[in-house]
Amino acid sequence: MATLTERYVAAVSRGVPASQRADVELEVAAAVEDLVAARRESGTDPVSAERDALTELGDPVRLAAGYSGRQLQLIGPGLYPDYLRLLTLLLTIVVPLVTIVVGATTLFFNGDPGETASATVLTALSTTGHVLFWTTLAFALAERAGTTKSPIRWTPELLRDLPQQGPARLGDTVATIALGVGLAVYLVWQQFRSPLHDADGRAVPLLDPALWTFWLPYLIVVLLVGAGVEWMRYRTRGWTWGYFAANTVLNLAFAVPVIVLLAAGSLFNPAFTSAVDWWPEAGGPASVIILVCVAGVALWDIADTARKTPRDLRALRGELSPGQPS
Amino acid sequence: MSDDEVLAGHLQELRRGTVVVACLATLTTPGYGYALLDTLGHAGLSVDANTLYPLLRRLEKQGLLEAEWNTEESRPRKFYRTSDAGTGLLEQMLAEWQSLHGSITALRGGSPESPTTEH
Repeated sequence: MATLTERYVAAVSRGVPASQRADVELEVAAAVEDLVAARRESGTDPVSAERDALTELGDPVRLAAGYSGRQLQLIGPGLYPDYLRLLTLLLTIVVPLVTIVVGATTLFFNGDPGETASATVLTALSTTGHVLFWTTLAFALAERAGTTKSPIRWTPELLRDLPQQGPARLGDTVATIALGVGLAVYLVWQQFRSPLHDADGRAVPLLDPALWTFWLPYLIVVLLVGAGVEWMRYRTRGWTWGYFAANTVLNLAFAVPVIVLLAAGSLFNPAFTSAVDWWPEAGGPASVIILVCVAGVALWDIADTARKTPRDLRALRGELSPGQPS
Repeated sequence: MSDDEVLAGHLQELRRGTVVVACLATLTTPGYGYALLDTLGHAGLSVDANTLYPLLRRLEKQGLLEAEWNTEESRPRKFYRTSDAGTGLLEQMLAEWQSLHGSITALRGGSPESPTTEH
């Protein structure tokens, strides 16, 4: 078995280019001998003297980096801002895009909701992994190729715009109210107008008429209350935590029953669905898409509101703080 | 972070460049790694061994030190000596040192002709 010193010298040697190896080996060996000798003179035993000397010289990888001038970092400060920017860009564009495409194709060609869900999650994870790995590898190689300065010159024009601040925008409010009221009106309208008619010439509603006993009036009320809250929010000129809570409750009050009814197959009118041969079977891909959409819209709206509320509160309080554009 | 750590950090920053000046100044008489480590330590400029050895090699590569293996003694040792280029650089660095010292002294003294801008 080689001595600790021999192993140390070999470890340093591995970290320097071949051209310098012979010289560095001799130099490190001489340095260790000097350090050991100094300790021996002050009366330390040989074993401890060697150990202490090597400890003083420290990690051989670090010492070798000192000799060769190699970096001890994967990506240095010169390239790190570019690395971070590119990584953010790729993660926010490529990962959702690939995930949606793969999820939609699996659903379309396979149709099994379980397999679609697992394929989607696996795609999201593996795409994230690939983006992280290849971007990091490319930058680490650039760093080692000696590119320590960013190839992109930073200019003030690269600064991102600030998210929109301040009072509620009338356009958003009008769109939200129109959607809520429009949906409520449609729930009533579909009872009387339909592309299908039965033998007596009466319209066949799209939604199960049995739901009129409770669920349809309930959903209409939820939608109208939601429109009212939106209008009040506009009058307050922004989101507060009170409106956030109301909006969250209303979102869930609408989405949860719709999802449960969809999953139970009791949302649509059996007379309607059995009359059209293109109607997708219950639990099939189409109803999964509707289900995911309803849940997605509700969750997105809650998350979006959670993001806007603190901002609007800041704007409402003392209007705008100094450094922000009005 | 304690005050001591803050002080240690700033002192380290301040001393960093002085190691090169000390090496070039000391090695006008040839010496080897460990002897230099010892000399600097006794002079109150303690340097870590794992900083000094690579530094000597870097200065050699830059042509500021000349190196030669001495095999006459019991163990072979690499002797370094400040080259002509190294002496020139040392003079420039010492001039810079003096100029910095002058600037700091002037700033602390608050000499009247120096412009002071206040907001």
